[in-house]
Amino acid sequence: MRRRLARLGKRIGNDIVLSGGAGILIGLFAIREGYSYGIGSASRMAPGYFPAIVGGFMILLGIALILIGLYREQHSRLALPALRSILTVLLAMAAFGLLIESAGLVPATVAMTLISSTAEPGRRLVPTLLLAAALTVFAVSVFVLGLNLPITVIRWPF
Amino acid sequence: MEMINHLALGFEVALSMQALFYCFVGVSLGMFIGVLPGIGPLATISMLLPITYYLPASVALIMLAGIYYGAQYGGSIASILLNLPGTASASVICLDGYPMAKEGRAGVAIFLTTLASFVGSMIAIFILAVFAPPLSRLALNFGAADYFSMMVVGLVAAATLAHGSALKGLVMVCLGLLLSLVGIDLNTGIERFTFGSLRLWDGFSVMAIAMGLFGVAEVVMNTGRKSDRDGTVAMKITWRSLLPTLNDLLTSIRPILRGAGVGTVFGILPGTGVSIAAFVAYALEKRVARDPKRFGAGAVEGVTAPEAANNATAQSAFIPTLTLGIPGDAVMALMLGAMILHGIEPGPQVVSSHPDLFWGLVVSFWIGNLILVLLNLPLIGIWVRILTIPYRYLYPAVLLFICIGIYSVNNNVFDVFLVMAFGVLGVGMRVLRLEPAPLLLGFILGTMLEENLRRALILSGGDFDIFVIRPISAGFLVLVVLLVLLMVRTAFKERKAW
Repeated sequence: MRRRLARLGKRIGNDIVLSGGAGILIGLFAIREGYSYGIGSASRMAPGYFPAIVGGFMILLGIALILIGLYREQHSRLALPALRSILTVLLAMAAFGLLIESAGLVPATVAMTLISSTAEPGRRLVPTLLLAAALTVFAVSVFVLGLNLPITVIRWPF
Repeated sequence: MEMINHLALGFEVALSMQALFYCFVGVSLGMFIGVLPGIGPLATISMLLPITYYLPASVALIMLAGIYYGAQYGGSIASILLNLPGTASASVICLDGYPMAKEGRAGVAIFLTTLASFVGSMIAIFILAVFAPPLSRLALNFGAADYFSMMVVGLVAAATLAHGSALKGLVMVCLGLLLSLVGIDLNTGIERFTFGSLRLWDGFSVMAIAMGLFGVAEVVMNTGRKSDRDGTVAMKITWRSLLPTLNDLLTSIRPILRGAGVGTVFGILPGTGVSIAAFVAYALEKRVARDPKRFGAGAVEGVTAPEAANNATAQSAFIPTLTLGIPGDAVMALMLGAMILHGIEPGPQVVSSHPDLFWGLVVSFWIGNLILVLLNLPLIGIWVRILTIPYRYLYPAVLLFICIGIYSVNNNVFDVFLVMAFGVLGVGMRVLRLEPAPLLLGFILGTMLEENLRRALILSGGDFDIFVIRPISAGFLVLVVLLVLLMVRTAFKERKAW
């Protein structure tokens, strides 16, 4: 039983079948939402008409992909990214987003640089700090001074 | 021939000291802005519009135009070096330009892009000079059904761009179409797919999608691996490595010609042409190439043809703007605004009543591209040196560009989170080997596709025949069928194509 499941997993866990599956799910979602906006008729298209058509198309494509994926013999392995990268990059960008309005460009840049640098193993403290400083200077000079964008550089009592 | 007189007049206008100076300013500004992802030509042109009040009309337009295609060029550089398309149409350049950079041929790629844009714009000028009147008349004949079918051709072509399976490409196109529908439906005022969020009323911004799918995903996929990235690019930068080989140049000739042709034709068609041209040019190259496998892995044609198309499009998109008063995109609309500010009424009479303006502008494109070539030859070395920065220092800078770039568009933190979300989507797509470029085109064309479908069906009273009855539309649909048949045939020929 376990072996059967494992083989099934292998047949399904390849990029083609999964893409097809994703296509079908998204297509179903589009059709459902489309219906809630109303379909109307060809001569009087309602807001849901186009999403429904596209959704339907996606479902067909998804089915085709799944069939092809199941039929194919050889599958290449999925190229998964490092978990560390995903988390640090997202965290870094979130930090930027949260800090830029409450604390200003300088803290946001520094925080983002420091956090994102942890994505790559083997970093050293001093170069990272220098990088943060350099990027901050660059950001302030090009975007605020050079292009006159209305971004707060630093907001003191944070 | 009359043409010579026109061009002579154009040169006279474009070669004045003032025109040359402002052309130079526009082109350089545009290029540097184009390299910085997020801040596009639109923002730059709007910021500089007030300065042009004090300039004569032709000089003002020359400078603004310079910003436009300078930014296009800068966007290509960012695509090649960082896989971060500066403008939406530059995303096609990422497909082969970035692999070329990874192979150590970034300098070659940039050089070829410079060459392609220069030649592309020259060809566009010649085609325009001869064919402008009949082409504009052709454009006037385009009805809603024709636009619809043309866009379908563009989308199917984009689906075949995918390095792997075209079916997956079509799924991506559809997803792009759906994403473009998010927001308030302009026809009925109903919110679609917004789930109650006020911020989504205007839909997603194309920059957020492009930067998330290309930029963020790239950073995530490249970091954290115990890999080779740090060491590879420490090669010697010699003049030799920056210049293309003779083989490269020879293989580029026909793609540039084809790309320029495609670009000129699509640029004339108001509205959609500008975005589609690069995709169609790429798909065409892939179709006519002897071994299409090379595409997506650093094929020279994959860089030169779209770049030539982009430039030719930028050049010829001015035609409908100036002569019909119909701007092709937001940037053209700004140009129209600039014209009106200077008291010039756009319309078919512009060419005859303000020949100096029209031909001066046309010639300035050529001069501007020449300036780009001269400006960039020494700069190529510097651009390529950027790649020798160890990746661990480069990628935080890329993230910074992305964050500031998207934040600065609307001063809205929500946009940053949006890019994050698309970054996650982008990573998922990489894992599943789904291409982002078709999605981008689907997104750009989605609302226009729906609008034209609606109009066509209203005009025909709900009858789908209209798409086959109208000759232009039928022609495009035949093209679609041919493309699909070709796709199926190649898929069967090599079972591994999926």
